[in-house]
Amino acid sequence: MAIAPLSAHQLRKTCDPSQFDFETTAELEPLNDILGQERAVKAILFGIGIRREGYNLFALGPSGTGKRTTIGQFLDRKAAAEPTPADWCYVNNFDQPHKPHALRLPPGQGVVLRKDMEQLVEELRTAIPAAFESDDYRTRRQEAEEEFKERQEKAFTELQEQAREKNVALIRTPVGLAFAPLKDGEVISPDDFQKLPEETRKQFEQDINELQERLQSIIFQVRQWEREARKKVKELDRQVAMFAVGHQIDELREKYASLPEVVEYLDAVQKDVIENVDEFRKPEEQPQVMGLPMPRPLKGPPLLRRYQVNVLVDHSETEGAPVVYEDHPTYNNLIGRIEHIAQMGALLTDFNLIKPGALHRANGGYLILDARQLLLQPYAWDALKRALRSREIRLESLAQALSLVSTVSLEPESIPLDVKVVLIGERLLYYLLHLYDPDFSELFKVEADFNERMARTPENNLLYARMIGTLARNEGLLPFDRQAVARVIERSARLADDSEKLSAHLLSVVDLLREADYWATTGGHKTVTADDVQQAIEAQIHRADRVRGLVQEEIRRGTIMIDTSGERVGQINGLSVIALGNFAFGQPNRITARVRLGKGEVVNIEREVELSGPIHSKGVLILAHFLTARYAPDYPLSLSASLAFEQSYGGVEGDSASVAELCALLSALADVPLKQSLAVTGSVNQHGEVQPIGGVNEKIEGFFDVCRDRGLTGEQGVIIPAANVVHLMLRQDVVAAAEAGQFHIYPVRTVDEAVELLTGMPAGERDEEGNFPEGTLNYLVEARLIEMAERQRDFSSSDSGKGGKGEEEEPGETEEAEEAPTGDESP
Amino acid sequence: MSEQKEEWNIRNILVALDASRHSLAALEAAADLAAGLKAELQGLFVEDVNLLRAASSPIAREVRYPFGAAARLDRSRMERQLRALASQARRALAEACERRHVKWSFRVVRGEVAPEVLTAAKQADLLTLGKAGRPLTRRERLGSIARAAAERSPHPVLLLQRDGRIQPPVAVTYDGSSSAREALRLAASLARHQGGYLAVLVVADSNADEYRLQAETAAWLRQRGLLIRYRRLPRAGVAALVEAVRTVGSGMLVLNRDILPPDRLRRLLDEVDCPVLLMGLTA
Repeated sequence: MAIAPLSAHQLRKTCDPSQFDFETTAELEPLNDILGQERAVKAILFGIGIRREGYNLFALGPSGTGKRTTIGQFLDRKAAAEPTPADWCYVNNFDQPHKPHALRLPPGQGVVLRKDMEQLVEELRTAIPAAFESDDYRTRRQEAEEEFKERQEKAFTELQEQAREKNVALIRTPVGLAFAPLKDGEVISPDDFQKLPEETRKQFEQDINELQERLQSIIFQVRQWEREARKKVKELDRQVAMFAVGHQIDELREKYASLPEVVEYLDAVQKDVIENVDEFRKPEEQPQVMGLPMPRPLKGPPLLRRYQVNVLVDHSETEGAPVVYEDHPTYNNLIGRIEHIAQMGALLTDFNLIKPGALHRANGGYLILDARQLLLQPYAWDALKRALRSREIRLESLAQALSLVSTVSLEPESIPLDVKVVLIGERLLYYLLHLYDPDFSELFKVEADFNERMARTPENNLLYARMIGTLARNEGLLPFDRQAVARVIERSARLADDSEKLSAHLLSVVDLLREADYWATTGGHKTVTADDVQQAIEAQIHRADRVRGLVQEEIRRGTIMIDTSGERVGQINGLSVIALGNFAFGQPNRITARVRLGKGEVVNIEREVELSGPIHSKGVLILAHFLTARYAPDYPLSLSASLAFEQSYGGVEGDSASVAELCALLSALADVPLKQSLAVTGSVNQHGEVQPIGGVNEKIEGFFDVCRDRGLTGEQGVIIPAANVVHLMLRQDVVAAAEAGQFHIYPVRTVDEAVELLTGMPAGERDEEGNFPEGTLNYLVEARLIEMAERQRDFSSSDSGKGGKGEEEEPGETEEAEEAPTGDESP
Repeated sequence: MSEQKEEWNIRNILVALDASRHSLAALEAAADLAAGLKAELQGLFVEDVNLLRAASSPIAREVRYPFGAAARLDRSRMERQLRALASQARRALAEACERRHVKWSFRVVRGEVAPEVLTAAKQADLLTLGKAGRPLTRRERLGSIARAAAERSPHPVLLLQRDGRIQPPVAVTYDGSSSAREALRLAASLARHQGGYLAVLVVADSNADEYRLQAETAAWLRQRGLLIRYRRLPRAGVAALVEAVRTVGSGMLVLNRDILPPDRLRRLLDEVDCPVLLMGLTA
């Protein structure tokens, strides 16, 4: 039951251009939907539709599958129909300047309020000095001062009067006031005073004491009056300021009557202006010491800055809800920052220096972030989670939070947050976050998983054509004719590594379209043809295949030893794939097997030197156990076999060589040569079934290239797992050679099928008595194993007395005798 | 004005000092003026005999600023205090004059303040005083000495504001009287030293008078290379003068004393807020 090679149409599922009823893609309707991402699209629609806490999205999938474009499109569409969110401003907190207030305003009103406040300050700067220069104010102030002076005057005049009546003078001394007795308008000299009658002297003394007490109480009172007068003047100032300010602010109050927060703020402004009215009365200047400007005192921001409105988020130009993509999601770019100004070596800040972050800008809408970028930025991920969980943006300087600096800083009022975050990233990141961050699944409940492949159905072919047309239009490329479209679809299938799938990796498709357009334009074509597409593909490959060329050359020159004709025992062509960057190619490898009497082990030479990956080791173990289970099950396995990838100096990984290794081993056991014109790929299970492998196209092409280089004999071909037939999308030259009968692809299901092809000998199945028929490969293998087991038994028994150093003249084997026999196993 | 010969010549200036902040400010201004006019500055400190007498009185009491603490007066302490004040005044005078290379002298006399100052003023061409000394009641803007000098000094008296500053331009009233002419002469010489223009406030109740008075002065003043600005006052009233001084932005007002009766003059001195130079009493 010889296996027939695959027919040409099985090697490459071509795309028939006649299924399309258009000439070029220019005729096609544009395609607005995203192709092949039904699952992701559903998830996105759900994710952006549901407005619940924690329903943020994570779009996962390989890069280049159009995640951002897709999400952007859906969000733009959704956001446009949503209401524009509020503006946010920071304004001074007059009671606690380090805790600025956040004001929420209808969209576009932030800027209006800022202008209004600027104008208000401008007006106050003229209105207040004007009010204080008015005659009315001056008169009233004079009145207040005059009143005080009059009272003082009156008190002193009365005192003076009383003194004069008592004939006592009130005179100034260098440090105060003094009373002295008078005589004829002059102060009495002490001598004269002594001459006065005692009664008079007593009287004077008493009078002076009384006067002095009065004077003391007057001085005390004057000070009180002075305070009163000052209070009155201050009250007057307040009234005048109130008059000047109240009118202006009333207008604003009326304007913003529907916004109680703003009205409250305006009340605070009014109060503050009145309290600090002196600031408006003198020209604002920088304090100076010896001509050097000095920093202002730190009691709140200086006058002009104090009444400003810091519009953090301005939606005056926004239509619908915002969709923000932050491509550099650092902590500060997300949360916002508080900047400082250096003044005389000190860092100062105020609410005007608060700068918004992406969360502020996206508040009320959508924020798209790249997950990898986000995770790379220190503290950004934590900050985002904190904001999402607490549903507010609390601006906290990172340096402050980490106690790196201790400059004066702000604690701005938190702003409530209502945003839907869309993270975009690789699958690995999603699963890792899921695994290691318990918050993640609470905050990102919707996963939009992007496919890299889609089914290759006639309907999808047409949609694909429309997508090509749309991309060509968007990119400004020439239209593609239908043959070109068919060629792109075939290429897409090859990119998907599957004849029944199409690649949803938009980036590579777009690249191919752009490059085909380039070649078409260079060739002066009006439309892009299949040849242009082919040229683009070949040029892509050519740019990347330097290493493949080197390998091919070394094989041609015999440096890498590969036989493509003749027969050898224990030697077979395996196939491996080398991936370099975006490009992968296949390469034949010589695999050899040697056997001898031994303890029942199959030595994987690669593994011994740690050049074997775990999967390769697994493959070798599986085939060893297949061997023991299938052949001579009643005997102990008494061979020592070794398997090697010849001329392999790097590691070997994967189990796709296990069929080849098994065939080489069987050949060595049965001493039956294998055809070197065939190469084998496929993995084997413990029952001897051949299982599919990856990179089948590259592997076939790799062997084909070697054979073609040496001239195709018509004998050559590749044995592949039957399950891989659906993945075949081979190069056209390979298909042509197969069609001409010069190269063959054989699909196999079992190892037996493979060895039959390789040896030309039937594999043989056990008959009713459980024996393999003579003249079959399996018979030979089993016979050899039984023979080895018996010899092993003989050695063990004869060896019980003396250490058997039996010459191991293994007739079937060739050079094995060089090695010391294993006779040393007896104690 | 042809009969008018020369400008007024000031060779020595008497400055009455009591070492108060106010009088020290007046000292600075007087020194500036002396430097400008190349005049000598004579400082005078009067030890108030009334104070000394009071201090020796066994029953005199002192109430001190600013807290109203009461204490007995003591003569020797009073004398010490006065001596200290005098030497403070002397130091200030010496410093102010030497800085400006102005010749100076200083005297301490004992007696009643006003008469002593007026007596000393007789030997000087100009007496400068702070407008207010240390008034008991702030309402009395004019100190007692200033008032006495303003009313009784035979020579010109310059009454300085609290800050003591003198700046151009000089304004002068002119009504055609002979004392007004004297005032004009003095004002002219001050204006030349101060720089700036001279504002002549012509007191005239008709256009014809105004024209006549302007013509009288114009030629003579121009000869002296002075810039002149005329302004007409319908009559010499306190309010009108204060207003005029304010509008021309005058830095000093030169006034012949007889232009106003004494009580109105006192009011004017109260209200004008620039230094005022009063011409001496004419015989």
